[in-house]
Amino acid sequence: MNDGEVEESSGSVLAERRTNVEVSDKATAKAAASFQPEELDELLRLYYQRFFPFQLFYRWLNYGHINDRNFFGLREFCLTLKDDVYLRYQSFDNQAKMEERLRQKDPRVIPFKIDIGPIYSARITDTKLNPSIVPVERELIFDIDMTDYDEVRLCCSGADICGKCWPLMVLAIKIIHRVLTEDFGFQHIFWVFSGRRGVHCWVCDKKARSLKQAARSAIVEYLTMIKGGNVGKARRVQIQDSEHAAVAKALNLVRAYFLRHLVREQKIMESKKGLPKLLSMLEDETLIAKVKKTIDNTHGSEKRWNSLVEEVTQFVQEKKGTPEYRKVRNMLDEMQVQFCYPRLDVNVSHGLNHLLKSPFSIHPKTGRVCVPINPDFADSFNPFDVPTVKQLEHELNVAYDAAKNQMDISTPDDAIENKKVSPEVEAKKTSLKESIILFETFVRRLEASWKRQRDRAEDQKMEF
Amino acid sequence: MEVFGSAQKMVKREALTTNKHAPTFTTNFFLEPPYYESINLQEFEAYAIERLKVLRAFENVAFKSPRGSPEYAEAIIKDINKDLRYRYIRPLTITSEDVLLENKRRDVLSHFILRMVFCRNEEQKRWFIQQEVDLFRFRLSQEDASTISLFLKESNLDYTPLPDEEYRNIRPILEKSTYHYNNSQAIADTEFYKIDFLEALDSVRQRKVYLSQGWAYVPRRLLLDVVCGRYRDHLAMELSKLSRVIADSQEENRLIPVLNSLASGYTGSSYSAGEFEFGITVDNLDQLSNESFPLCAKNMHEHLRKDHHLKHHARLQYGLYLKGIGLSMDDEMKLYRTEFMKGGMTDKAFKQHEYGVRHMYGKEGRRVNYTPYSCIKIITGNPPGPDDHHGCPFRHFNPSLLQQRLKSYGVPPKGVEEVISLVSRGHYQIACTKYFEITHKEKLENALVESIQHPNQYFEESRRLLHPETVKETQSTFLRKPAEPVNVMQNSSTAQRAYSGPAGPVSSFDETADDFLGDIDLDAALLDAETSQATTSNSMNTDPSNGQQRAA
Ligand SMILES: [Zn+2]
Repeated sequence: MNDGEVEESSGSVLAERRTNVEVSDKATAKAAASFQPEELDELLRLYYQRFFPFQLFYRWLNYGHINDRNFFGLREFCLTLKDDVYLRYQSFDNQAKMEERLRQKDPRVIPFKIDIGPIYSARITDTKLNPSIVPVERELIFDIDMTDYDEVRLCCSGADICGKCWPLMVLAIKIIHRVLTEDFGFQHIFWVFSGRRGVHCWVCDKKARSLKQAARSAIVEYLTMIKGGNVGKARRVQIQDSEHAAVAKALNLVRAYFLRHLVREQKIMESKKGLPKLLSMLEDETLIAKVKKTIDNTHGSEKRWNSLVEEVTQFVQEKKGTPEYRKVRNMLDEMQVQFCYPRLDVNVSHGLNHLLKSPFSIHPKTGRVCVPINPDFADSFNPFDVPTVKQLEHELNVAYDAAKNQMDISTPDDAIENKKVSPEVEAKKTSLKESIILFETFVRRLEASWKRQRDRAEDQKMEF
Repeated sequence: MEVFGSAQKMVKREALTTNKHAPTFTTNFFLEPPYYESINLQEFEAYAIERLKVLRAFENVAFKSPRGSPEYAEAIIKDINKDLRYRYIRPLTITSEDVLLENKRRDVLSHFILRMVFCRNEEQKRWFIQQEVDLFRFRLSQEDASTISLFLKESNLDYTPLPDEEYRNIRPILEKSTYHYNNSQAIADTEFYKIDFLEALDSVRQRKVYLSQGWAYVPRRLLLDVVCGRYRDHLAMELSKLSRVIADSQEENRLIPVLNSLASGYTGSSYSAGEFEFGITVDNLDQLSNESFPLCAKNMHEHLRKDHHLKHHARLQYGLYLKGIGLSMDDEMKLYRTEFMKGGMTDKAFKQHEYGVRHMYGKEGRRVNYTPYSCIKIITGNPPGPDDHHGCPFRHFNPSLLQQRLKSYGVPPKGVEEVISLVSRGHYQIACTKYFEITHKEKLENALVESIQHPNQYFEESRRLLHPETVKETQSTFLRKPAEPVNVMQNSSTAQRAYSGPAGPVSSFDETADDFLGDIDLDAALLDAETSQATTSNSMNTDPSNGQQRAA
């Protein structure tokens, strides 16, 4: 039994709850479930031929350097081949070179995993880096991984995720996205499903790409509430600046999440695993005893929660004017934050040379595509609906079969080889469609901003 | 000897016009190098040592009291003698123009001399920048408002105040989002500056200011931090440039021995491997960890034993620490191998780590002889994320965890309380020193302990106390009165040692002003191991036995 099946079974529970499940969805879901990591090389060959959106990808990472033919070539890619053969410091002059490399047919050189590194000061050509070549530019990136939430998850642990814990990722996206756009003024933010158990964030504004390390870590710290070093036993964080606009806004999101997901859905107040954890965060023995007593006489998670809130509020009131007041005044919020505020790995974000899995690459374990997530509709993103590469193959064949009946059309392989259609077009015939459109929208918005800049520069020239 | 003559590349300029009108204020951004002049070697050293005294005073005071507090200001004035104070901190109001000019000259010269001294090594550079920024901040805080305005203008720091209308519109938000000690301070904040967030990173980092669309709304009171941040950046950039120039002229430059010995005088040894031998092997590490490891190393060691794994930054910090206490490369390899394999890593996957370890010992990549991290580097470096075990427990643990940990190591309640109280006031190194005192009480008797500056120093002193027979080098750099900077003329052995240097070139730091890029080579090498290991752990899950466990 493999991991993919475990995820799939919990996924189908989720799918049942959805209202418009079409018949074809069920067929493809079945096809997806049958994904086997052993056939990955064959599936990947097809994926790079028919689905990987090279053109959009190049337009994105070339960042409008139309006249600077060397820009894309300065980017580091890291390819992981079959059996964990690991190639760092790869680079491609242009889109064609990249296509050529990824589409090589020999299964021994097909990349199982594609990671993106920084832009270097000079072209890297070797597997060992020349010390005089240094990273000069890099998107601001965040990597949020479900395993970092293990101390507070009630449902799964490790690499497993389910419909109950996934909303943690949604909350992380909402909180971080708001800060990046409203507080820091960034506009070009790309959220991507990591293919298995987390999300990645790429901030691509020019200003974000040229940030120094100190600035990157300052942004991460601005976003950080839960500091590391307290692994094992979840203790309550301390929040002293709950009035700060950014914190206040995050707290609103946290409270709503906590009530909906933890109190109501996961029934934390009746949970054998959750309740003791929550109670221990009250830290004051007398208070814990008192709350326990009240709770024993109350039934239902939400009712219990309300009585806890009452008890704690009263406790805090009584401390007013004492030296402990500072420590306990935000107690309720602090507990909720501890349970669901995003855990950030500062080491991913602060350096320029950290590698991050490429959007639209395939997770080698689950076979799922690393598809973009629309942050405005993060709630409706379901990781178990993300197509696997196996499912895509199936869907494309179905699409061609249907078309063949109506008109004279060649097989998908012919179509590609005769350059009749691009992967961007092919992918739109499958459940990857929305993802491609999202990517397109993101790239177009980037391009529009460069055009505005050029126009402005032109205008200025005209004035003289 | 024409010192600046021999270092012409650095200061190849004709007499400069800056500060010719000798401004009355002492705060100086040091935008321009000194006048082109010759000074002899004795003067060169004397100036350097004089300024070093001032900087060391700043360092010591910052250990004892929080920057910006009244105690801090008092201690600075008290710890720096009158003559130096007039020259470097606050000039006498009534004095001759000659004296003023001479003080100015010394200030500028000594600053630029120390730049040369401290620019060549990451660790030293960090130290120098920290102390110079503190000195700068202190001077600035002593100036009156109009002088500050003038200074800002002269230094091209023309920050425009927030327009009244905008201020009125967002005033309630500003009041809530601006950090203040008390309400009266909040009410006093009526003048705000709208500054690119990149210039107010310290305030942003700590959420001390309101942020909107990339603008930081900084009250006048916190503008000081912004200016200091600018100064820090400026200094870091200048030092990087300078280090390249000096590296280029390394061979022929007669100054190098002098610079080396001055540099070594700042906080003693850099704890490169091999300076001390304690007979350390994999087999006695557990015992050593119990007896003599500082909390940071003990924490990482225990996690390595327990989890059979350490993440990237901990491997780096702990690995270099072990190297520093004299663990051989082979033994370090053995340690990691044994533990990681216990954690289920395959032989093949460990290959990447082997490369990382060899790299740390300077056998791969640029073959740099990396030195163990000092406390300052650990405290100011990457904070640990969840599941990370690097960093300084005093700085990065939450207080309740620290408390619990101290208790479990047998620290009595009163000791725990003292340590926690130091930590809560931000005195992490003093807290660590206290911990040392408590755990070595019986051997210490009444010896005076200077504050811990380096995890390896902690270890060394502990061994010296507990098992003096195992320590080859006998001179303690620790149990003593605060040291004067080393005078090269009198202490040729120090100069000798510093000049002959550790094996291999000293890690140089160029390319950018970023703090950690100097380690990039090592970082990348170890990251290789990290990433490949992530891939490996994926493949580990395909292991049928693993799948069964899951199913069960
Ligand atoms: Zn779950």
